[in-house]
Amino acid sequence: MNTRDRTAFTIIEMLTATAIAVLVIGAAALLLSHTVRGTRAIEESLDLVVRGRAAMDWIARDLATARAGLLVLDEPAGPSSQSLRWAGLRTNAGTIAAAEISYAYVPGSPSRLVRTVDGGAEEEILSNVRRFRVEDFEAGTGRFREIHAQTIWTEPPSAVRITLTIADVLGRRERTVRRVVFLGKRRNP
Amino acid sequence: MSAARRTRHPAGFTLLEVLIALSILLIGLVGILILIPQALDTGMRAQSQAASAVLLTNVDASLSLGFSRSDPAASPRRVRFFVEDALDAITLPDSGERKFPRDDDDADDADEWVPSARAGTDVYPARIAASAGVSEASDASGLLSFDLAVSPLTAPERGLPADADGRPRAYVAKVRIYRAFQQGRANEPIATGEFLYEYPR
Repeated sequence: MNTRDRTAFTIIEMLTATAIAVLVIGAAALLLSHTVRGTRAIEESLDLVVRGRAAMDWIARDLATARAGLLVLDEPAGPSSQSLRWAGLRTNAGTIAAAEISYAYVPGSPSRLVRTVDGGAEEEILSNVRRFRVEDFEAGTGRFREIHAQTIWTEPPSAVRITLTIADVLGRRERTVRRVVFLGKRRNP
Repeated sequence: MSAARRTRHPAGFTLLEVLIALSILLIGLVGILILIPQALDTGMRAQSQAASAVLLTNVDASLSLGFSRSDPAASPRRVRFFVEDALDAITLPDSGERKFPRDDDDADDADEWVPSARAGTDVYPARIAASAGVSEASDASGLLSFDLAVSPLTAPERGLPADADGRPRAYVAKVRIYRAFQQGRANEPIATGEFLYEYPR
């Protein structure tokens, strides 16, 4: 009996040990929570940048085929959103053919950026788009200028700058990706 | 012997045992604490690398535009380019290498890369960060900057002779993207690109 009493912890020892354990576990949990939140924020942000970049690749690839008649059709949700249509090229089963390509900002919930070839089915390029805007390069001033609805180019400008602002699914985080697309003839020595 | 053990064990842990246990706990905790910021930094680097690909493309497009609009008769040859709304220019060398941004301290040292955006005070990182959509302006670790080195490509063995007037026909631009840090930390290179351009004739 005596031996058993001496091997046991006292209530003070138990309380002290418990308090220390709670402190250590609490600090670790807090740290873990911060880390998880930070990691999630980075992942979401990275996802937005990657999605924006992928959409930009689509647009840039299509714009590279643009010929005369690049047209800003509409601004369905004000000047921050635009829809474009131009005469370009499409590839289909290894063949290249002339096609009318359009990128349209579709307002709504969620707002979307859709691509259409020759008036066919809409292909969603991006969702939760907050801003889709195109500027053209003005040779006279050597700068990009904002363009507005019903702008018609008789021939494509030498470069355009596209701005896409994308939000995450919950609309808490936004990222803007801006891409310059050179449309002139690239010289390859 | 066994009687002595029985007497000693109930007395509790020795100081040595407690110290060893505490040391092990401490090492474990410190290890975890070191790993957490490293993990976050790795995530930030991944984000910066994704954005740097956009920036690299933009610099290339801007240089393409600048080369296509250059004056063939100009001397010296200059190429204007921009990132975001910052318009700048670089003079093309007939030989050697020309860097941007130019560091006056290293003007004679043509072989050394010039780190841009020193200590985050330069105007370029913030603008580039905005253009690349990296992160909030207050997030210094998300800022990107770049520097550029242009050199003529006239190597006859590569079939790239100079123009009739003896000036180079083609140029190579090497672009390096950095994560720009504040508080005196050295900028970290995260992406490079090498592009070929022809001067208008």
